[in-house]
Amino acid sequence: MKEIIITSITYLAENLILIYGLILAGFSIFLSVVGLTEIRKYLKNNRLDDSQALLSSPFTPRISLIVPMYNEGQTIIDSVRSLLSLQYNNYEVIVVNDGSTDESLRKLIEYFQLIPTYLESNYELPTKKVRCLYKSRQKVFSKLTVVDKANGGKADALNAGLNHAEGKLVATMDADSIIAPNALLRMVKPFLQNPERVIATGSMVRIANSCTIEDGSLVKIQLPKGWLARFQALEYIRVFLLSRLGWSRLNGLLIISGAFGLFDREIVVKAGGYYTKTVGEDMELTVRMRRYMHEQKLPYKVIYIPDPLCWTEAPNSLSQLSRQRNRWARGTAETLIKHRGLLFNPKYKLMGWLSYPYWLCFEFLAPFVEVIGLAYFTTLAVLGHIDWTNFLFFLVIIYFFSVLLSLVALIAEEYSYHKYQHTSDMAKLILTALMEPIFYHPIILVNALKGNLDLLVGKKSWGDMQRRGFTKHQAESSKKVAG
Amino acid sequence: MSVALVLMLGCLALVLVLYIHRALAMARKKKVDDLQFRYQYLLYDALVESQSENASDNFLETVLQLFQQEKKRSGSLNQQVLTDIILNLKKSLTGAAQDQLLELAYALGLPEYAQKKLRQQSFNIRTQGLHEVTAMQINSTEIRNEIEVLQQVDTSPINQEVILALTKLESAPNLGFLNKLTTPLSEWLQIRLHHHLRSLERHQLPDFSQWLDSTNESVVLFALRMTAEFKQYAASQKVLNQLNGSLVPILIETIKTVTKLKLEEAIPSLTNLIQHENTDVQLASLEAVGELGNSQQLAKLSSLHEHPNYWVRRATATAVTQLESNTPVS
Repeated sequence: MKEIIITSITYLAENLILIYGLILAGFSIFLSVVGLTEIRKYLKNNRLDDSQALLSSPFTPRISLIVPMYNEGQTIIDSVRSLLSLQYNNYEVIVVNDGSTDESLRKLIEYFQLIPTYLESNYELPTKKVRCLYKSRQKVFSKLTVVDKANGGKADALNAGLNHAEGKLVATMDADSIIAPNALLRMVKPFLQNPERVIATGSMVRIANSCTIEDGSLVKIQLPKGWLARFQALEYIRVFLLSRLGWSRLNGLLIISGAFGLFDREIVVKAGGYYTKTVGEDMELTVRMRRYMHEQKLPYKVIYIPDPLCWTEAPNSLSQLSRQRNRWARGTAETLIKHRGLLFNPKYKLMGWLSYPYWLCFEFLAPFVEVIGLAYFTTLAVLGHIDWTNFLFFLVIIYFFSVLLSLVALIAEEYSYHKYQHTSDMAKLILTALMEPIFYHPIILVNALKGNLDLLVGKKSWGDMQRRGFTKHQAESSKKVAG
Repeated sequence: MSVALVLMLGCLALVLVLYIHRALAMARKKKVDDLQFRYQYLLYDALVESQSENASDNFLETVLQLFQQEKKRSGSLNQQVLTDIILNLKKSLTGAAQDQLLELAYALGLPEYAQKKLRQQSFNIRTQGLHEVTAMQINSTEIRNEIEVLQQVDTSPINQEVILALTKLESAPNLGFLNKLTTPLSEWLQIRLHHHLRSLERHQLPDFSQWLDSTNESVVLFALRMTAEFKQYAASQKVLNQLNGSLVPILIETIKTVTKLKLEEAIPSLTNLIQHENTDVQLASLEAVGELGNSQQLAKLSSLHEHPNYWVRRATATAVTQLESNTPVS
């Protein structure tokens, strides 16, 4: 009897894990194919540079670029200087000081010669108290507005920025990200080209570690030197070039990265702005905006473009990476729980039938399934019920499939943007792809699990991220401010 | 076993593809860079030679001679590289210099090369051909016919390129396609059309008010924008009539147009529109009243100081400041 029960459980578990793995592999292949097709189409349609027409047009929509700032004193001057010289003729930069405790605000006031305005504050989206709005007395910095408010977190700061944004479109970014000079030109195009209303666009985010950055601008691209950052560089290429582009083609994208995104302000505000009680405010907002459009029965699109327009500093140490991934896992779980009504709800069409179930099963549940699988095989091994040959082949298949996906992403990168140009970079990336499933994946797995456990025990904090600050210019600008 | 083997071989194949592609791409890039350098050098050389005392008077002859020698030396000329160089250079030149460059393109047979691209199946190559044909201003009936054939292709991006090409090839732009357009004229196409239209003389432009009665909302918006941009005051009455319309996007664009044209006759209608139910119409009207009005309108704004919408309150404050400064000191 005991044998029968063990055999039955073994059979069921093996098959369930196998079916789960096959569906996940199928989805990955499908998304990769769709992603590759979409890159080809995008590059084809955008091959000829027609930015001049856009750059000089009086009909471009106004964009408000919102930069939440919390203790970014090390890099904020360079970042803002770089943001004030983007290639776009109709935009403003709104820096929201979210109650920084360092000298960020003082540096901004001194460097940009800011003076308080007597404009009343807007609380269309509820936020913590706004203390003051600053504008520069120098005409050259007329695009800049600084909103000084009490600390309320990133989402609250973004909402304060939204409240004071004059643009029809709002771009949000992290203060420590670097965006390409033509980023707004590229990101705005889907809003102008599509017959359907585009409510948000996102672009590819790349890792800036080891790149040379001067005056807040990227001047030389290099593959990260450290292994941890290099793993993340490969991961970002794979996720952004294959998965997100695939979802964008299906109009099923559930997340526009908080590092850099462009949104239709009217829809963001009507959907209720950023949700302040989650650590995954970027995904939560995208999902809520989509829900709003479905509920209003309005046709819409969320578009992702493969141009590498945003560069960000990746965690350099295991502890930083753990905190980041822990937060991402909690953010995903919080969003999925909050919007559980989407699951298989025909009202939300593809989002209810495909996007949400995918995120639930293969993003949220994947670490749990993996751990259950490992526990199951360990138990079988202890009980002596394992067929080692089959087990090893199973592992080999998983390993090579992971490597294959990374290599497909590298092919996509090679055929499209080709950012890492040294021949040795290619070898390093291939080696990274070979090592990633063994060394990097377990770290991600453990932290995803830990994040979900933390959510269960009610952890809400963001966790600190120690920035090295990538600018060489930093010391110089500090001197100028101090002087 | 076999699945693992297939996956492993797949990985190896991809690594090979990566390296082969990288090697080929680098070789291609090097070749193009070398050719670019060589051709640019020849162009520069011809330019210097044509300036010398015993040089032929004709720059074109000089440069053609050099390129013929180059052709003999290397077997053939890379027409794509030449096209790119000449069209890039053309962007930064005007007048006689630009004409000379176009003559050179014709003498080198580049228009035929561009025309061939129109017959290709690939969207990419066709679009590139359209760009080159228009940049080289090849305005023959044959070319026009070939481009019009492409208009039958049922893909929006190529249709947009065709519309632009046909518009650019005419000395007086023919925007007749606006009469037949049933789909929305994208903002993107409007921007690109405007970019071309503003390079023309004012007398070459059509009367945009003819499209103010269009049933296609996007065409009306485009007509309003162009009327304002090119200051077509003759259309003032037609523009003013649009203020009585009910479609919000058209109403907002009309308000912007009357502001740009500084049509003070619109002030009574604008003052009424300040109370419109749509906030965007209110905001546009407040801005227009601030620009065009005077102290007489101040009383009408007083109720809006307490408006629940922040942006309306802010626009009211701005308009009041403007109206106070617009009022002549007695």
